[in-house]
Amino acid sequence: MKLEAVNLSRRFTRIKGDANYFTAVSPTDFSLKEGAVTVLMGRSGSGKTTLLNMLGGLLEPSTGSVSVDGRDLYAMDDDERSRFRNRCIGVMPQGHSALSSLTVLENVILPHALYGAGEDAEEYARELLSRFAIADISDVRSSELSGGEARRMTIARALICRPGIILADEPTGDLDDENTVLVLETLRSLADEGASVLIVTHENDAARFADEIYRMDGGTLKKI
Amino acid sequence: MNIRSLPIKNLKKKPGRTAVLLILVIFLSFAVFAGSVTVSSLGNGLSGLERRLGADIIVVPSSARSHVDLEQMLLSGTPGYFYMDKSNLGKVLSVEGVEKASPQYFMASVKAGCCSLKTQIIGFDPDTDFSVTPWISESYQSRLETQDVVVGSDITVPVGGRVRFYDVNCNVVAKLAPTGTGLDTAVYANDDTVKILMQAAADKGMAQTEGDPDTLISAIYIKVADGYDVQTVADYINIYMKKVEAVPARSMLSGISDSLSGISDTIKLLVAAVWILAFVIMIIVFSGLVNERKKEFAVLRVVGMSRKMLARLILTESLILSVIGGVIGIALGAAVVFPFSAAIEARIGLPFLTPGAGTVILLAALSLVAALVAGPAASAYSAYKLSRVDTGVILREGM
Ligand SMILES: Nc1ncnc2c1ncn2[C@@H]1O[C@H](COP(=O)(O)OP(=O)(O)OP(=O)(O)O)[C@@H](O)[C@H]1O
Ligand SMILES: [Mg+2]
Repeated sequence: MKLEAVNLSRRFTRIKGDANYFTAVSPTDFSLKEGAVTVLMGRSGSGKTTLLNMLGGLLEPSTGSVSVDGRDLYAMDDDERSRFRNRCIGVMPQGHSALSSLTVLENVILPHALYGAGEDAEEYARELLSRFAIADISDVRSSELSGGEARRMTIARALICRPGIILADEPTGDLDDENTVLVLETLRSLADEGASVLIVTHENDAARFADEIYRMDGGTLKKI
Repeated sequence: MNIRSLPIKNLKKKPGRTAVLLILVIFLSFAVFAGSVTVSSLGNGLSGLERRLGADIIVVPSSARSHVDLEQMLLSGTPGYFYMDKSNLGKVLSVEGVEKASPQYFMASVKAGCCSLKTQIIGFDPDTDFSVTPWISESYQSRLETQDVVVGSDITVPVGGRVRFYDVNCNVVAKLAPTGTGLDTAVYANDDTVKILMQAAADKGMAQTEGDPDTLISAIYIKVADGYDVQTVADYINIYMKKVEAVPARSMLSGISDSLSGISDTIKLLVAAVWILAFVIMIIVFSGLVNERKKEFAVLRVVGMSRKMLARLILTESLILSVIGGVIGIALGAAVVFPFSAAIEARIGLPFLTPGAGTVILLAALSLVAALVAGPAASAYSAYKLSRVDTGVILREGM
């Protein structure tokens, strides 16, 4: 799937000096190509997560639009957009996002179960778990996981509906070198299978897997 | 993994949090149920008493007013007696506006070897009676023969058993439905039986009057004809008849009904206060809870839950709590109110008559509704507030 953002920007109200708003992302055009890995780097606070959330339909932009295969995300109503995200956009949020009342396996199946039968997804869920080497803890409550285990579970969860677009916000943040490579390779191979992949990362290693590299600087996006 | 199991899983995951909310709902539904049953029992007791009296006016000797607490005797069944001449009945019957008049005969049994129990004995004239008969006929359709008695519900002698008054044996032929008052300890018989008992008491030197039982009556129960004012008829009797006093039944009950409505109002106020208090605490708890769970909710949105689905999840959780808590609260309320209704009656000194199963079920249903409304309503505001904010923003706040 192809994702296209036009004139996308986001401001937050924040009283600072004489300005009463703050521009987290300056107006920018941006796109994700099918079968390509796009890497986005940049300092902390530069606006990477803000951009990624807008691309994922999670944050209403101040200006501009985001469309996936020609469908304008923010022209949809909430029901439609939620369902669309569920099927087509795999988002790995920054930081911890385990649902603590569910087991690892349940966490991974959940997105698939939202709009249908979760049972159908179990086989693929187990496959993902073993791909990320957490199959042995599939019945453990996710509140008991280590940072790296939780992170890998989140990645598996984002992939369960086989989304055409994958938005990964610092997916390797908690991982050791070995797992970092594993995750990046997996994302790379998903792109090779046709997905459009965006990876926000501080990891210089990621450049190796990238087709395109962007840098965010104070809200301004630059292609490298 | 079924999405429908998510609310239960969430509740199980945080037993402490769930318990606090449950206790609030239990508290709330307990108060509503116990309170409403109490209020309705009191109202029921009063109307039972009104029906039981069955008369518009009761004429008693003037001395009864000064010597005996008439209300205590007629309404609470405190054993007592007084007498006047039978000729008063004819005079009363000739008063304009009196549709029916029937005499009653009171006597008390004593706590002594000759009597099986100390109680109020009330005799009536089966030919003219309109106040006791309808109510006896609920449990006994045949005519009372001499030495047959009908007993109040609190008298433990079974139907078919015998009671002895002044060494006269009487057959218990029926037991009355409870009224929730002291009248439940009284014994009813026809006039002939009472005269026999009076004679037997006199023979034992325990006469309750010097007069001849055949010329005496204790009270006259009057039914006023349609179109006549009860008070006017009573006033007329009081002006034109000597040595008797006509008391409108309403006025006798007004003391009770006043304190009853006072107590009912207090209980209603208390129930409302508890409900509101528990509701407000629940709103606070829920909003704290939604705050604490922001990240969790944001993640659900990230993986594709819509606002509506998320709101449904939050409401379902609170609904489950409300149903469980509501049922427990009502069960606890029932466990307190029903077994202790006698104690409550004694304590507040008012007629207390538990309503029938239909009313109790209705009150239970209403209490459950009160709980069902409180939980979801308390969480609705937090759920709504949460749904107004972009997921991307919540994701950050929850971190
Ligand atoms: N909801 C918000 N309200 C106000 N300011 C916000 C909000 N979200 C983000 N910002 C601000 O926008 C800027 C960009 O934030 P963002 O999270 O996009 O940075 P980032 O590049 O992802 O940083 P990091 O690498 O630390 O994750 C920050 O200065 C942040 O304070
Ligand atoms: Mg970020």
